[in-house]
Amino acid sequence: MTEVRTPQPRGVHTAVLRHAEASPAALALVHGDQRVDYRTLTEASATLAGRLVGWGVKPGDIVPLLVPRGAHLVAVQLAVLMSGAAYATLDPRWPASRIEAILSQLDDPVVLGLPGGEPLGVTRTIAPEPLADLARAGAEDRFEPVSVELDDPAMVFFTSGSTGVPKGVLTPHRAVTRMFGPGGLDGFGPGRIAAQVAPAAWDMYAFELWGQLTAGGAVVVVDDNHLMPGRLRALVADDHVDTMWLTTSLFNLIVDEDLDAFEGLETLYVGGEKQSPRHVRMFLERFPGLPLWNGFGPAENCMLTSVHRMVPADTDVPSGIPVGVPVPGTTVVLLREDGSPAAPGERGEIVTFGPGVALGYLRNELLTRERFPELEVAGEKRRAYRTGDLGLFDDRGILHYHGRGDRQVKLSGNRIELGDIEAAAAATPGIRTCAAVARTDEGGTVDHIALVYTLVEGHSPTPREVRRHLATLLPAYAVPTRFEPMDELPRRENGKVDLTALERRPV
Amino acid sequence: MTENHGVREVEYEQPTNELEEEIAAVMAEVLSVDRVGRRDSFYDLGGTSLSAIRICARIERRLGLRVDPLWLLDHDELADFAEQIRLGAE
Repeated sequence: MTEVRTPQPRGVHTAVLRHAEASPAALALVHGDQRVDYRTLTEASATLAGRLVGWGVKPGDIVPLLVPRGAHLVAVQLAVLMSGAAYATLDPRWPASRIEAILSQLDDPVVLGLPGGEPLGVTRTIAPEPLADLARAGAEDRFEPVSVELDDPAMVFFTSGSTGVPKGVLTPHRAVTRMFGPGGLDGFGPGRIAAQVAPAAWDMYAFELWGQLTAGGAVVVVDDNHLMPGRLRALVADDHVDTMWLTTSLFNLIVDEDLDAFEGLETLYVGGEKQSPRHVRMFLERFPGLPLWNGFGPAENCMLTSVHRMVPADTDVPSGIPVGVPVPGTTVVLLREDGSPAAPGERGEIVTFGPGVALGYLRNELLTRERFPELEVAGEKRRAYRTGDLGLFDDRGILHYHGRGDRQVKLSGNRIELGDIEAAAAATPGIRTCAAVARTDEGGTVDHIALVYTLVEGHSPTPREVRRHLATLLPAYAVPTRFEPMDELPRRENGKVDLTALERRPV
Repeated sequence: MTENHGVREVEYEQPTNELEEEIAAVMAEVLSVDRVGRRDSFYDLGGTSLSAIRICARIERRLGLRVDPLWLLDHDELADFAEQIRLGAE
């Protein structure tokens, strides 16, 4: 048996700098009318890193970024890494209260943003300028990038917390680089071009961006926050994009509305939600030779945990399309409720090991100890991440996803804790009791989230008023789209709200 | 009180030109409602960013006009959205 070659984990900026040294003129980044090669990108970032260090940024710091997607953001992110710090990209469009809740978890951080971002908490501004100008500006006194350990934090991804407080997933360099490069995932490396479409705060942003830049490929940053089928067509035809990641619901939409728009792609990853067999079948009939990968995994095991190249036969599997085999550097074990390993073919909790596992939740030791325990695998104690997802391995060793045991849902690829919505709704004037429920379509994909609620006597906020209040507390994707006032919430015999009944209400 | 779709909080106002009529028809189809009036809000009808993309993709294909989903998300009443599309086509 030959040994399988897997990519070697490296520091994120170390990997980018290696390519800059080997192929300085290779295309790295396209954004609007900027076409930037590896040398220009790394020199521009070194200039910025020099400024950051002057502002007091030091190795081990966490630097929040309130900068929108684009070439400018990429250069700033790489600069933070070069300074030895980690970045946390926040979306300037999130409600101010949410941004504040995140910034308050950090210890007097240097917060980088665009001029005008001060009301949101920005402490140091960097105005966007062409990367070529930045690269020239630092030529005299070039900043020497700081080298890092593989275990050092590189980025923090904030996700929905079940009690209304966002939790930060502290992610090391090794986790980001573990699956890209020779022996790594299909679609990344010299000559390949990925589109960058994912929101910047997401771990899949790192997949699109660092996947190519640490492997020697290029990235086209798409300004549109809502990818239209016509834009996809233009990306392939005009910008030569050949690798894409799409959330399942957007993939389904493009299959429905304009299937031919995928023509010319060479690798397509779809995930973030359960796959729809009907859409996968339509795609594979039209593009039988185009690799279509199901990508699965939570941010705590950085970006992806397992992948599966989908084939027509998968669309007939009763439990749904498989999520496949672990990505390079990742081991998946299924555990029973008592912690013992599940037998082959038996359902268990999906637990991950290896370099993809995050360092923990920022400033939350209790939750970190609970979700990232030391577990024994093959006679050795190793740090694990307990995903809370249920799965089983079939007799070919392929992982199948079997839902969750809690109230975390995925809507259009966004991870949402229903408890987070309820905490916000409970703080809405006039609401007495409430429940947030996710309703699914016939394929099992979440269609929408509804807020069902009763009112305090004498109050009658309209659904529009409730929605607007929630929009001041929650990111736009988490605001429910159906509002259903009731006289009383249905209860089970034990007095708890009957969520199953609310989920079933006719659509 | 409605059971499923948000709540219509305004009186129905009929579309006044062909563009508004076409857009109203696409919106009604995607949002699964009977009809959409000039002052009906996309959000009140249960619209999401994904349904905005779907609506815009269909309008682009049927009318051959460029439509940005942000126009609908920022101008959620039919008449205002139609005005954005008209301005965009100029």
